[in-house]
Amino acid sequence: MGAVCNNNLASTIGPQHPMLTPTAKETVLVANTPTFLLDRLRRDSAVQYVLASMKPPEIVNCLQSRLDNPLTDATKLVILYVLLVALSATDPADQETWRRINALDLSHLEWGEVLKRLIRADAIPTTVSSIIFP
Amino acid sequence: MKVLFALCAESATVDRTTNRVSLFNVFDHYLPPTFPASLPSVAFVAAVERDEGEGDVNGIAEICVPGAPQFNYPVSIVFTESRIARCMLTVQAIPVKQEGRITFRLVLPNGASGEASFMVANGATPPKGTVAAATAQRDA
Repeated sequence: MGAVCNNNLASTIGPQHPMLTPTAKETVLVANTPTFLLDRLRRDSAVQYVLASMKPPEIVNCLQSRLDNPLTDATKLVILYVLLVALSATDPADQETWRRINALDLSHLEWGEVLKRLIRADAIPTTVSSIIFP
Repeated sequence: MKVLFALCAESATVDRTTNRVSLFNVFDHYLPPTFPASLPSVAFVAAVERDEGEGDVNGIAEICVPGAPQFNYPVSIVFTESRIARCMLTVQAIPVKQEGRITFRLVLPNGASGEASFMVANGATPPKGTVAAATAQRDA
């Protein structure tokens, strides 16, 4: 997690950082609805990178620590949205993580609260069973 | 509480990122060339919507195969904080001894139910009115 969500990351972020793909930046720039932003970012390699690097509780920690710091440039905004959208992959049965997601204060982000509601609505639990017919 | 939908397909999956369910090769009929036959895999997917104040329940998946006794399998419907819950039951190696209808039914404790069924017929002589019969007639 440290390498991905380092508090000093802001100063070390370069154009090649995997959370700042050109498509993620473009999506945040041109999105005119929260659903567009969610659908596009979910497919972006930036979100896939986050999911491959961190587990949902770590993503919440990372997002929380970034929300606690003031936004100073647009790249930080892109990262916040990437982290938030990555949380849509949280297991619907993981109640502890969902409790923490619900508690996040996303009022700094224009579509933060709407995205949180959309992600929560998609978190439908599925009971999966497999049997051999007797 | 009610069953929103119930469907049978060859396989089903839940997308990791979007948590959306996808069904592949939905069954509307099954035409084995001979009897007895074996249906390799059926994925039964159902969604349940709860009303305010209702919680997790245990339902029963009833599986009716022609020529075999009804098989009941308990399924847990877990909502956590969601209004909707899904259950996905994959049944493998279903022996089909004769023509008829295979029915998968989800029954909830309050009596609500949802079912999906499909016809099983001999593929060598498909019954009239089916796509298989029309295709056979065209090719004859």
